[in-house]
Amino acid sequence: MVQGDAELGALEDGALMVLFANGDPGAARVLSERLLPRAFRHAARVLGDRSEAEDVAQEAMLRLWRAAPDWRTDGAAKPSTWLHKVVANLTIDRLRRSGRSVELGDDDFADDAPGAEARLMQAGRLDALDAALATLPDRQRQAVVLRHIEDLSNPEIAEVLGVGVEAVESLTARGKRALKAALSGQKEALGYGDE
Amino acid sequence: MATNRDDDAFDALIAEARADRPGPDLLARVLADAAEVQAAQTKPRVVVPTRRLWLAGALGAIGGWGAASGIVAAGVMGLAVGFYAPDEIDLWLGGDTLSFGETSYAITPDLGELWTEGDDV
Repeated sequence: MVQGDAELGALEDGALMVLFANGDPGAARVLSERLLPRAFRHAARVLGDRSEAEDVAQEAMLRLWRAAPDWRTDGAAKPSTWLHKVVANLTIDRLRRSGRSVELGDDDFADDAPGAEARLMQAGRLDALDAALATLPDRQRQAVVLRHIEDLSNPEIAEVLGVGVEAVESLTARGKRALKAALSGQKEALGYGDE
Repeated sequence: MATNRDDDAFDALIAEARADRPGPDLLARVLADAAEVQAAQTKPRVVVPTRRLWLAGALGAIGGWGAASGIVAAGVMGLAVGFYAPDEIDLWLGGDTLSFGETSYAITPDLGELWTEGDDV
């Protein structure tokens, strides 16, 4: 049965997945409007490349559609959490393949990565943010993006990254400090210079 | 040490990042993917009728293999009793039976009578 926009808009993501699997043509549009921006932002902030982020977001959404027939509304992960998990895995794969991956070191962050400052000086505001995020180790970067930009709870981030909630608390706290440190010298580039 | 102004600047940048959106072209691509996947997933499946043997149909009509084996067992038992103890069966039924010891009931005219009519064969 095809449902109207108002009815679809009132449904939760899991119910829309079931409708999609049953052939409802409006379910994909409502789900895409809700979830695609999240997938894109997550990928864009982690990869620092909008074009690449669009490819990742499209691939993640395609996997979501394919998962619809087996989707369970009773206790399965929320579609948004599931999608972020796919995006996290796809972005980590891309970073590793392209040699841009930053692993956790003894210091837990690498805010003195070569070239970061130069990139920050030349970039726009969001590009500057991406450049600063790129100096963080992969997991910290994922955790900061999911917590502060996508507003996921710590248990949801733990599920996405496959780590414990305590580890998430540590990753987000250290990540935020490292991000602020990376941005602190770039107030001019960000338009927050002393007046 | 971070100042309030630094925090405000950081929060403003994060708010800007939260408002970031993909271009409309990406939404069109994603919806095209969705339509393709949905069409494949909801395509009516062609059900190929399987040929059923007549035996399977007959078994189904009487209740399956269990019922069939019961009928066969009862038949074999009846045959055995009739074969090995015909007199007792005859006795129980008041002599109204046909056993191998009797010739026949006169249900049809005796063929011999057809052959010998008026002492002529």
